[in-house]
Amino acid sequence: MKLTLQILLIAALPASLLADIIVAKGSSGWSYLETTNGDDPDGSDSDYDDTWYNPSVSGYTGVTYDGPAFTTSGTAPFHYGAITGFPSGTGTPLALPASGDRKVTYFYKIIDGGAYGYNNLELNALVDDGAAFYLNGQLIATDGVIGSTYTFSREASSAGDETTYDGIPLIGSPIIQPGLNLLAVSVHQVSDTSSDLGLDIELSGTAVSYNTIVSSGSSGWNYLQITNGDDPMDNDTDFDTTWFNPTTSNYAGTNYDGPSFSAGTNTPIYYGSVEVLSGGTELTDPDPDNGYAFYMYKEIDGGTEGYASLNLSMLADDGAFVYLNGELIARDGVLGDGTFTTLTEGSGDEENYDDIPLIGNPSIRPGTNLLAVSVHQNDYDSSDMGIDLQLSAAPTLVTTYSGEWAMLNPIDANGDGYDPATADADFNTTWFDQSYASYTGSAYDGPAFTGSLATPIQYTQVSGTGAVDGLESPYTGITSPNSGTRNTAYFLKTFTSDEALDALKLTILADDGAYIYLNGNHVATVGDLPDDATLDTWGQLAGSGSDEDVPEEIFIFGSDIVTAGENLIAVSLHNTSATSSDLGFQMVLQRADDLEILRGPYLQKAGESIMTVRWRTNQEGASIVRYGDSPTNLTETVTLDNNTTEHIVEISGLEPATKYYYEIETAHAGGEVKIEASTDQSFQTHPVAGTDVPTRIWVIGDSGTTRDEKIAVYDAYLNLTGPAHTDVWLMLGDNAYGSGTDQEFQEAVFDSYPELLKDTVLWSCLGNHETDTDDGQPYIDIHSFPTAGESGGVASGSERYYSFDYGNIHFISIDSETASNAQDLPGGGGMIDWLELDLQSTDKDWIIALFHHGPYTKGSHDSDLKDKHINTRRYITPLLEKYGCDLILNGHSHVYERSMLINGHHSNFSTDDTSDSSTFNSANVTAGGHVVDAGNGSDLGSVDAAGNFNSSGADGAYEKPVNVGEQGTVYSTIGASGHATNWADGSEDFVNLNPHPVHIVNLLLMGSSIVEVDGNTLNFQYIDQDGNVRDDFTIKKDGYYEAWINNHNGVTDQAFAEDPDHDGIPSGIEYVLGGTALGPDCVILPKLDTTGSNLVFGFNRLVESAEDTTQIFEYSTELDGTWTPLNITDPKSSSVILGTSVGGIQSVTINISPSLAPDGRLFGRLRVIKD
Amino acid sequence: MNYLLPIVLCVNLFTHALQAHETLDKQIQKANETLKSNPSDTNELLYRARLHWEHKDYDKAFADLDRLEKIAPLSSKLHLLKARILTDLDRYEEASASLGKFFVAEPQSIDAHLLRSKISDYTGKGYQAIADARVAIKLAKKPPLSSYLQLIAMERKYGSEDSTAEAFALAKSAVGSIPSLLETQAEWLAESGNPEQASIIYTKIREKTPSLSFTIWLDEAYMWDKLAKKSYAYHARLQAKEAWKSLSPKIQQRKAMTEKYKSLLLSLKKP
Repeated sequence: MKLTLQILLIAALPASLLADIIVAKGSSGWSYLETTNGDDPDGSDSDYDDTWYNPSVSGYTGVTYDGPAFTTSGTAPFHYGAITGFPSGTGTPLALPASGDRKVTYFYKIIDGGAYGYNNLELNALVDDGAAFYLNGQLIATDGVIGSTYTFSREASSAGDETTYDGIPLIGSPIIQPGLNLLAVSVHQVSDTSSDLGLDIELSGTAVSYNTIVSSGSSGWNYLQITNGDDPMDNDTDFDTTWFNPTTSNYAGTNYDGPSFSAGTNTPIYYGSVEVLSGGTELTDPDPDNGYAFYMYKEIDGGTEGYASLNLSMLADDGAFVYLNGELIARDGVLGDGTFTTLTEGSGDEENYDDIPLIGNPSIRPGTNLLAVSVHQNDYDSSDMGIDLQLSAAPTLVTTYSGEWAMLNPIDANGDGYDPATADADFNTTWFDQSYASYTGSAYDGPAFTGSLATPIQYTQVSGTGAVDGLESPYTGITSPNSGTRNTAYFLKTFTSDEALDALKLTILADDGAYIYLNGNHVATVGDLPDDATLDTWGQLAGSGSDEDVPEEIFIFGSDIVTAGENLIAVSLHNTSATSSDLGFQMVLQRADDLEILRGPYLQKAGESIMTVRWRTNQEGASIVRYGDSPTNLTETVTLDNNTTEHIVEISGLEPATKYYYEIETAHAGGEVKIEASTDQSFQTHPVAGTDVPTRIWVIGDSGTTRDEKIAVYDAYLNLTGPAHTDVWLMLGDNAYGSGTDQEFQEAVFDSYPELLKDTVLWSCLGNHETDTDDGQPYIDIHSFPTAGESGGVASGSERYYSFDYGNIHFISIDSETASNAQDLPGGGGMIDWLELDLQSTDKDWIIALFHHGPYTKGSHDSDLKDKHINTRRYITPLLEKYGCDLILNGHSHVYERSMLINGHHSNFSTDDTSDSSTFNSANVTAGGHVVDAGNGSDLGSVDAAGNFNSSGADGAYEKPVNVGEQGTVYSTIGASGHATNWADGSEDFVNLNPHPVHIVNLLLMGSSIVEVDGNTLNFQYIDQDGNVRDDFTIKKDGYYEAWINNHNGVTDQAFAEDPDHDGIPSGIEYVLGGTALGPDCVILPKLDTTGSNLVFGFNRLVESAEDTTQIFEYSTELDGTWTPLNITDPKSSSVILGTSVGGIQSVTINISPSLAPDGRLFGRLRVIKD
Repeated sequence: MNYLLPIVLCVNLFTHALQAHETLDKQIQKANETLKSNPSDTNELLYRARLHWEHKDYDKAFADLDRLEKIAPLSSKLHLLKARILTDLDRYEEASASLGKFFVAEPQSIDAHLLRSKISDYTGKGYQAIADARVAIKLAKKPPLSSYLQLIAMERKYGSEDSTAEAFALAKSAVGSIPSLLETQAEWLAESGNPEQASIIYTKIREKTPSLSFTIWLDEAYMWDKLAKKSYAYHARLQAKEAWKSLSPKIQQRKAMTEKYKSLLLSLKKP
């Protein structure tokens, strides 16, 4: 329950209420210096301005201060004059200087950072009039004072707010260090005659539970900067493999004979202006265009047992490789192996320290270790570069290099292993709970456990034995018994804990398998061993070896599984075979983190009756979704006891077109975590396929950056759309730069669109950057797209291409990137075959296709030159156009382009013809060309030559009459939702001067598109990052009746009111009622049912007939009386009930109260008017 | 411990991923500048070779790869890229040799096995083509449908009836009985003299996806036509005509479908 409560608080309360209060309002222990005589203290102490805010006092180590003495033991709030926001009679009143002498008052206070310090600091203060705040000698905030120095002569820029405590923005991400820290404040008057001055503050933060090994701003670094661009490999051919692991004073690495590093440097290290880095070491600006890597390393102390469970927080502008003891442990924004000229994938975040994922589970050894970093630029001519980092370790109970393990490795005098139970009958039930050292357990009288070994422990590698691959080095070697008797070895050690614990995390590498005991309780089994620990005997062999490369994470839960004080951990290590050549283990035992939700919730694979809710947790557990019709009425629950961190809950049996509120929960034996239902956390099922519902679609392409402009595009959409629900959200690929890794998806998708992800289903097609990692596997793993036709459309068998329906729209996501799909030809059962079947099968009025590589672009890619674009014109667009696709959406080029209504500019099912732009025929299709409508398709306006959208020049909507084959498709490149780059000719003009001839709008402008479909109308707009409409067009469909009558072979008299089959029913009525013009079909006429409480007229109708006819049902008590109309088409009367569409036919039920037929007689008639 | 090698080379084709948004010429120009100041930049050489390849400037691509091989003989990815380029140029024997060098360093590469499967197909080495397609499936955590289709294509061409049937079964167990796969299976069954079984498969598609009944009946009619089973073909066409009636009006209105239907009516009128 504790864990759940924590999440609930996060959801409900401001972060400040969750944080620890480090300095409370009205706190005591302040020292202060009044300047009542108006004299600048710098006058009597020349370095006063450089020292007062960082003095060595009361155990805190700062700088020597020899200025005027501060008064001690002050209690906030401090004030002279009347400060409205301070309760009267509280705090410390200061002396009121004479008018003209009221300048600056100085304060400082020692604060205790505890064992590990605090981060995520927040500062609230009531300051009259302005102030500068320092922490451990660094400026961390200002309030109401402007300038670069805050000396005695500095006046506040305005009179402060003396009524309320305000949040003060912090400069960078300051932290409270473990132990003593010093907070200092100078309070400045707005003028020397101001009558009042005041200060009180509250400083809060999150207690850090880590041991800081390398702090930000740390000393002892050695660095190498080369400003002339000469690659150090030129003079030292093994530089790239040795610089990060040199032998130093106390560290034994490799022989390094390259350029000398400069010693004694402090971080941050930088040149140019890196937003939040100051102090430290400022490097020389390199020569122009020579901004290559710089290198640094330092020795770090691992203490007596080393550290595990490391955390790296780093600010690298632009990116870096990080090595520990010669092994790469982290990379930030860089790929491959580091060389002098390696460039980063992005420009780095120079404003924040980020937690950097570590590669593997690196540990710090006891004694001296070496940490090395190479820092890399995004561009050789970049003006700034810098780094600072903090390396810390979570507290552990037992760590990788823990010592004092006692061992029983039973070997007899002949060197053979033997079963200890032969010497001690109750060995198997007592050895793991024996009283040992200061642990009190069971009596044990078996073979003695001896030694004081440090892990990792494994068989000494001599002839005939091998190494356990994944163990850290150095290791402790133990004797291996003779081959054929290498069964089991036993280990135990004691450890102390400050508190009793209910949840533990064990990270263990055990070759080949192991039983783990804590205080006499079996708590875990590693590898292929029976779960039943009573089978833990010397002769028990593991079935197959556990992974000897990668440690296994096991969470252990139980009340007081670790007690406060002394504890005993015991390990029996088993081989798979008595002849096995290797055996060994290492482990980290620590308190388990709280169960957390790391990602989501987000919505995937939806349909009329299904929805998929996904999220990720840091620990495995069950997946639970509760949902209902309001946040307080979650009546339904889906629980999957799947014990996973990747939660995928597919809900079925839902009502179509229905909004459900939901909450998610993960639970395991140690607790649970949930994100509770709220008004903004809901999902909506799709409408019944084929029904017309107003639909809003948001489209973004190449949005995979993390830039502010990308967020501006998102915000512009949110502002524009307001509370309206986004029904369909399409991403056009390249959703996460630079390589589509899971972490990049976290930043570019999950951290970027949090509001939309939890209430709108995200659909996408595959981009090229997605496939840069493991051929797109992270993209596939992150998403749940329909492969079996679950969301409508024909089953594709692949998440790389699929289709789905939303109401009367059929969406098709195509893979233009993966060679096997993009180059697919008909006949092999691949994407092209699927696409044609899917198109043949859909009965939706609208078809929208999306794929990454546009058939027509002269944006940052040229569709005339690149195969992936050309491929799309061979089979994909010919098929899409053949079956009447209305809109094709693409990305890849980082621009906005939009075509006129065109048809046939493709290779027409040929791999020979590339159909490049020179072959575009601007004549109308009726004259053998490719143009269906050369206008701009807008009812609102037009885009002028300068790229501005004006309210004049509208050419009117595009029309696609269904009776002549719905000919015409609009193509749009929406590739600038993450950044805009350039045109194919290299220019960066706002409007492309050399556009592809199909396009009538070409803008180098970031933005996104909103597509709205309502009945027979589709409207498309391109919206820039300020929310302005920059392009607009509409497609309208008509000709439904004409198409219907055309399908009646032999009917020459096709007019709406004619009756060619002479059955007494005009063709128009037959059309609406789903009849035929080829013979009698009186059965289709409306029927009256008088058996119920109402008079009910009922009939079926063709759904699409509502698009081009107005249908009115009329009733009257007299044939020649007054007829009362009930509209059946939009807006329909409330007395009319429309049924679900089945095969394009739906029922119409009209209820009329008997009270309207007082004489028991009522006439009804159906009137149909062709629009 | 790669770091102990004389020259470290773990080249990554995607190091320049973001730069790929520039025009090809501009990218090549930039790579030229980088290599001018640092001619031994192995990453850049490989990258430029790929750009030249994309630009279809094969000689320059080979020149860069040759130079790379001299500087960094332990590079493996250069051999994969060279194999791809040589395959594009239909120089399969050389491509195969280059791929062999790549396999020495990276025997578990799925991409390389799929590429070798195709090269083997082009050179008529059916057994190898099948074997590589199978290995690619085995190596993948979750093999994509395209890998199964490659195996099926190779089995159809070089394998036995049983092994091809097994390949279809393998694909269906992985991705389900999707219509496009069943349609291909039916085509294969017809080709291999089992039209009755093909007919059963067509029936399965129609049962599974009724909206495809019309076109699948036409497929079946086409199959019987090819086998000169006129009465069967006629029956299938009659069934297609019936299926048309149950199609949604929207599908009936699509020009491509209307044309199919008109063609069907014409063929039914023929004696």
